[in-house]
Amino acid sequence: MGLAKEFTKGLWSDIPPFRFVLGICPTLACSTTVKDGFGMGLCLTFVVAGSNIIISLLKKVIPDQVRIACFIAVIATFVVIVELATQAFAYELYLSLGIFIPLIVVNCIVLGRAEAFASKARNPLHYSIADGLGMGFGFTISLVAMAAFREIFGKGTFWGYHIMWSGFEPFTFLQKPPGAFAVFGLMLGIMNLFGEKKEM
Amino acid sequence: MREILRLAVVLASICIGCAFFLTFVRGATKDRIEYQKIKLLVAPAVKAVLPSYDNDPIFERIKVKISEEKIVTVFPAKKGGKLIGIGYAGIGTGHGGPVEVMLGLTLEGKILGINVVSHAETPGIGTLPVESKEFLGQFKGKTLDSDFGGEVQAVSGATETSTAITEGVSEGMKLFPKIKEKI
Repeated sequence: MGLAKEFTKGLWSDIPPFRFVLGICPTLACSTTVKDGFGMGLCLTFVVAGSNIIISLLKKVIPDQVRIACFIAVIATFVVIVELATQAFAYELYLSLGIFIPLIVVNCIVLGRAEAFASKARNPLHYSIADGLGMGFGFTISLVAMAAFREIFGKGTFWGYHIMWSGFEPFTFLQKPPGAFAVFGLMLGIMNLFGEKKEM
Repeated sequence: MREILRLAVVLASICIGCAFFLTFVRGATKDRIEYQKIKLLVAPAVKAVLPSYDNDPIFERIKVKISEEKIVTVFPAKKGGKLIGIGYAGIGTGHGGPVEVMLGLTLEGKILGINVVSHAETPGIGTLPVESKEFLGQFKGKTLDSDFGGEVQAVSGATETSTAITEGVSEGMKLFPKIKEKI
C-alpha cells in the first residue's frame, strides 16, 4: 500500500468509530456540540499520531512480553501533554471535555493502532505517521458529523450559533445519552448501507 | 534471569524517559495554566469590584506574604500608572464549605464592592445572597472599623451563607493593613 492509501483508509474504508466500532465512549459523550466533538477529535489525533511515531521508533527495542505496558506509558505521556496543553491554551475546552481527556489513555483506537500497525516491523515510520493522522482525522470527522446532527436538531445551533428558524422546537432527546446511541446506530446503519460491511 | 532483567530495564528506561519529558512540559505550561485559571474563574469577579482602571490587574497580580503559611494574591487597579485600588479575596465558612469573597478596596481601605468567587452552598437557597445585588451592595463604603455583625442585614432563609459572606469580608478587611504595608 502506498503512503496516501495509509492515510486515506482512516477517513472512509477503516474510519474507526463506524467501521471498527472502537473509541465509542468519547464518540457518544463528546458529541453534544460540534465544538466539543472537534476539540476531542484534535486531541485524539495528536495522541494517536504522537504515540505511533514513538512506538514505531522504539519497536525494535520494546520486548514482546512487556509491549502493552510500554505502549500505555508512551500513550499516557501524550495524553498528559494534551491535558496540560488544553489547560494552558484552551481552558474552556478543557472544562467542557473534563474527564474525557484523561480517558484517551484507554481509548482503543490509540492502543489498537500501536498494536496493529505502528509496532509491526513491516510498517516504516512515515507509514505509521500517515496511519495515525488518518485515523485521528477519521475520528474527528465522525465526531463532527454526529455532533452536527445532535447539535442542529437537538439544540438548533451549530458551533454555538443559532441557525434554525425562530419557533423551531429542538428535539432535546438528541442531546441526552439515549439520543447519542440512537444517532450512532442510525449512522452505523447508513455507513453499512453504502460501504461493504467489514468482516471482523 | 538475564531476560527478566532486560525487560525491566527497557520498561524502566521508557518510563523514566516519559517522566523526564513530562517534567519539562509541566514546567513550560505551569505559569500559563495558572494564568488561564485566574483569567477565566477569578477575573470576572475581580473586574466587577475594582474601580475603573487602565492596566491589566490579572497580569500584574502580586503575591503578598501575610504569615509563614498565608499568601494572598492581590490584584492592583491602576490608572495612568498610579495605584487607585486593590482587589483580593477573603474566606468565610459557609454551610457547604469555604466561601471565597473578592473585595474591591480603595487605598484608604473603603469597600468599593464585593463579589463571591467560589462557594459550595445549596443551590436555590444558599445561592440567594450570593446573587443578591441588594445584599452584596450593603458592604459598599464600609471600612475596617465597621460593625459587620450588626449593620449587615442577612437574607432570610440563608442566614448561614449570609454570615459566611460577612465573615469573608471582615476576615479580608483584617488583612488590609498588612497588605497595604507591602504594596
